[in-house]
Amino acid sequence: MTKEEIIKVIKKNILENLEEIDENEIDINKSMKDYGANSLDIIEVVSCSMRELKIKIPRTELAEINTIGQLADKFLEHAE
Amino acid sequence: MSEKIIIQMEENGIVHLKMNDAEGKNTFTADFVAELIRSLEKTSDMKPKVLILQGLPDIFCGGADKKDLMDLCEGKLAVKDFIIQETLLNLPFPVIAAMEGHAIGGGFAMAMYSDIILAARESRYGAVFMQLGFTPGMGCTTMLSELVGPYIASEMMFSGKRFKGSELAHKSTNINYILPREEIMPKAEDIALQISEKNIKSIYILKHALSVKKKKLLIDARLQEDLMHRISFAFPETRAAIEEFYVELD
Repeated sequence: MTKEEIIKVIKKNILENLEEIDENEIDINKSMKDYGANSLDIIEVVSCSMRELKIKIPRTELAEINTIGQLADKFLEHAE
Repeated sequence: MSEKIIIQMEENGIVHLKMNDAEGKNTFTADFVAELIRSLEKTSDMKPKVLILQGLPDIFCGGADKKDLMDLCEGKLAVKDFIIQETLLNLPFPVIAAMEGHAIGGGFAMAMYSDIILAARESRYGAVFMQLGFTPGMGCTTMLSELVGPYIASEMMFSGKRFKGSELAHKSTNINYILPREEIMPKAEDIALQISEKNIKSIYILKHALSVKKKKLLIDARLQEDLMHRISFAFPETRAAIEEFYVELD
């Protein structure tokens, strides 16, 4: 699994969980909060993406992450 | 005087009860629950025609407090539900739940004990109990199906998913209105105004009649949920699930 594939899945779930955003405007150096996500939206995007990527990371390990790119890196560490 | 709950009575018989504990995110801490129940009883004494139950713009009610859940696991606290449900159900006037913000677990269950329900497209609503390792409480096992329909209730309870209001809007639930957040309070006010034009004596009679079914359902729920809690809070996995649930992500 490549980082690009992971980012694609995360972006897909961002689009599904947030209203009125365009895929092209998502910058992976930003936080989901910058696109209007509230804390429960973020949890939903993260859990949906992990299910789809078949990875399981404890939330405590995700608590320090600030950007979409950092999330993708963390997922990559745990991906097969 | 504490500001966790704010009561405001209007001249036309509409009373507002606002859950306002920003620090505690409107979760059921012991202080919050005590004040909520006291406030609900106080509104009863005011003899209003209708009550608008509201929360903070981003959080209507967060449900259970982590400390209480841990105490339940350790057996420090008896497995008992709060008496919020009974207090709400016994109010002699209709309650409009104006849920601008998220309503989670027991916070979402509060809607079931209201008469008219409004939810926001931007907020999330979930019966998350199973995500924390224990079985649903607050009457969800008999009453959630009344609110959202039996199959959506099953999905909500088994998955613990927090549904976005905009997502629920596409499903045929019994939530009266799912609107953009800024339209919730004006709509709640409008409905309250319509009720306030009615004869208070007839309002109270109607409320009494419409509550009978819910009261029976709540008795049924208590019988099974108390037992289910006694079992499921004692599972060794439940503690870890609760710890994990309360970690916040940025």
